[in-house]
Amino acid sequence: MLSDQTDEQLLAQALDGNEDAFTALYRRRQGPVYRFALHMSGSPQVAEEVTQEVFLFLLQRGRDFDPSRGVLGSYLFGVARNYVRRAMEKNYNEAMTLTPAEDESESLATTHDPVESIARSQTSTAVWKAVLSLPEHYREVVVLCDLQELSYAETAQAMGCALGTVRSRLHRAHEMLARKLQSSPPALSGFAGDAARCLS
Amino acid sequence: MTCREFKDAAELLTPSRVLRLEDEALLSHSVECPACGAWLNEQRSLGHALLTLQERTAEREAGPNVEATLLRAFRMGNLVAAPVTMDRAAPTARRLSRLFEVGAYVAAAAALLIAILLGTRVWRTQGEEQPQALVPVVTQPQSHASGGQTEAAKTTAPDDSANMAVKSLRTVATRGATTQPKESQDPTLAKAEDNQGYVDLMLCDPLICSGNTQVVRMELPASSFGPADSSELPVVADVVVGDDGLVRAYRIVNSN
Repeated sequence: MLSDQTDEQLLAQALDGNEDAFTALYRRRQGPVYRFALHMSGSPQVAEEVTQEVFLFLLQRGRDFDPSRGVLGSYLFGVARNYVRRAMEKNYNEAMTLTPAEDESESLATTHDPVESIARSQTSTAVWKAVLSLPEHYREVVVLCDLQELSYAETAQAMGCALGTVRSRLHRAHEMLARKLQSSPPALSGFAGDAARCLS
Repeated sequence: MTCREFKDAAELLTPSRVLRLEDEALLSHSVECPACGAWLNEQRSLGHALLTLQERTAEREAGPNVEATLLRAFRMGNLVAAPVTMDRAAPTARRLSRLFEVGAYVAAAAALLIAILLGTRVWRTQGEEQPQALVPVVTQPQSHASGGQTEAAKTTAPDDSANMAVKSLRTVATRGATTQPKESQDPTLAKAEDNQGYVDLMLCDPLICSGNTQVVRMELPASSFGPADSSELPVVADVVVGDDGLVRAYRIVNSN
């Protein structure tokens, strides 16, 4: 069963011409890659372009992947961050644009409480804007560690830096995010419980 | 637990993991220490905020057109797939930039090649000029002031020069001192005053002898020029040697 095979096994079969293996690998990994690019750029168009480029790169240069140096997922994030940087250099203005209309309609359809839904949507928009406003090397660690929930080691592999660098950047990024969120009251109003009281 | 220990342990946790914190030691310290408790609450708030963003985009994926494009490229074996159609700037600028990039590399390579060729040419030219400065004018047989030595010099064949006892060798660069135009190398045209005391050891046909030469200063035993006498000091001579190893001319620097 293809679903039982590891990413590395699927990649090897795909490079040997197995289309089913490539399709399985793509469907397993395209979501995280897409969401990474989406969180980094704020643009669905950029995210799609990056996703396509990453898997094309994998088909062309997949044999360069060395399993001894880490997992394929981190490798794909490492490739994606280069393409995201390239895409954002070309489309800086578009990259800073969110698509709140599309997101709000989705959130309203999935929750029973419209008020809570709107509040959460505003909160997530405020957080996303705060993340997008971070310098790129801080934004990367937040997206990889906090949103993609990679470990420090996997994040270090994806970014090509030391473990200590990841920790220090993440610590700094959290300080910056906390300050930005404290200065944006609409984000706090969506919180319930102790969190809002602590930061006010 | 000290505040330092708390910070060291808690900083390893991401905000999302702080939300799921179950470590009793950390939790109890956060209750005891207001500062650490405030920090932990701040991390929890941040974790909540990031969690909302994570939940908002959890189901987001690339469209089916991306998969179709990739599979099409995979089947065709052509891994340069058509770009995802987007309502953005055309890729013309991208192609132009790549064209300029290739052109820049070609121009740099051409400039490097030209620089290497010119440098080689200049180096060879300098190398040809320098030996010419060392070539003395060999016109007609000149007799040295010391008769006995002259007799020995005339009878010294090019082969004997290799058999001389040489105590020290020095190459003397007489740059500019004996520079002569090529025409003056013709024995029929050179003037005596340009010879600088050199005695030719062989008739020098310009077709044979025109080439690079070196002047070698040698210290020769006095016996080479006459009957051995232990009181006589060695003779220092400048010997003109060609590329073929044959001696063209010589002159005595010191006469004892």
